Amino acid sequence: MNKEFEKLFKDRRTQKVLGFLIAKGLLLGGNVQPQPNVKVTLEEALWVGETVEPRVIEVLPTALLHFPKTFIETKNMPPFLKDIIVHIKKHHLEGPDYRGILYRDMKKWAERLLTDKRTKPLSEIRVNKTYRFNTHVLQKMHQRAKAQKMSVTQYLENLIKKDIEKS
Amino acid sequence: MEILEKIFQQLDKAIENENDERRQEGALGLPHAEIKILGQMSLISNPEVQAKITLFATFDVDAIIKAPHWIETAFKNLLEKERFELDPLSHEIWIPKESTFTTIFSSSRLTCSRLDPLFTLLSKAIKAKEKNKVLIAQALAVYGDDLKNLIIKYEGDLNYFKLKK
Repeated sequence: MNKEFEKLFKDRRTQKVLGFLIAKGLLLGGNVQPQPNVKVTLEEALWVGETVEPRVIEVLPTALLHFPKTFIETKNMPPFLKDIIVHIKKHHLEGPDYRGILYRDMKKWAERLLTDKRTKPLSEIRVNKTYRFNTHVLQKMHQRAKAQKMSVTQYLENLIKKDIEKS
Repeated sequence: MEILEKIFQQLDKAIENENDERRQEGALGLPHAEIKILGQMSLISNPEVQAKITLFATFDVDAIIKAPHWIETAFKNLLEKERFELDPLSHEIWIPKESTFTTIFSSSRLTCSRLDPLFTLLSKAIKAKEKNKVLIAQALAVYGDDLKNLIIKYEGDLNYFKLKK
């Protein structure tokens, strides 16, 4: 390997960031030791993404969302990254691309089941919402859900699925 | 990457089984299918390239598939089992007209090949230079004038791939 590249790939930051992303099943390849339990500063991750391997940027929003405790010193997150994460969290279909990396790709990885199987894809994470029903509807909802051996949430989700299929 | 070969073998077996069932029911078998691997996966699955260039990839697979829906779905499912994802926009990838492919799996039912590295790298240098700056810089050191001349031919920006010291 050319000395210039060797220096980049052997850099402590490169080994740490790529080692973490490979260990978590977000990237593959390279002769890098997987490092599942490291702490990474946002600056280190961005440096590797900008200087060595842009695919780091492609999976960085996913890594930040799913493994927030791994990343330290995240207070000064660049606006582009903050913006992308907000779009992903809100499940926006469209969002900002960054230096040739498509938003749809960054979003896609956030919605996958990761290798540790403890991390749920963003699309499967349940969100609390409050709605106000009138008593009669509420009672009917409980009765119908019970009759179909479902929770009220499952019953409502089922109704919505059927409605979507119809349209 | 041996995993791709394993997937192709499994796909071939699945087609064989499906054809047997169809014939027993008096139906026609599935026509011969062709899968061409493009993009980063064509590089990272190539041991010769891996020996020369340090490569990283996401779990995206770019492929041009000439096959009936049944085979495409079976291929997608096999990829997903191994955590890969077929990119639905693979057909948008630019394939230079002089491109060559190397066959990596072949049977009477299925032919799978991958785009040769020089052309994958050329495609990336012309159409996705930002995402592949370090990769192309490395590749220029390995493939020399062959890659350089192709980049110039397609009006690519060679200076962009010079790394700052």
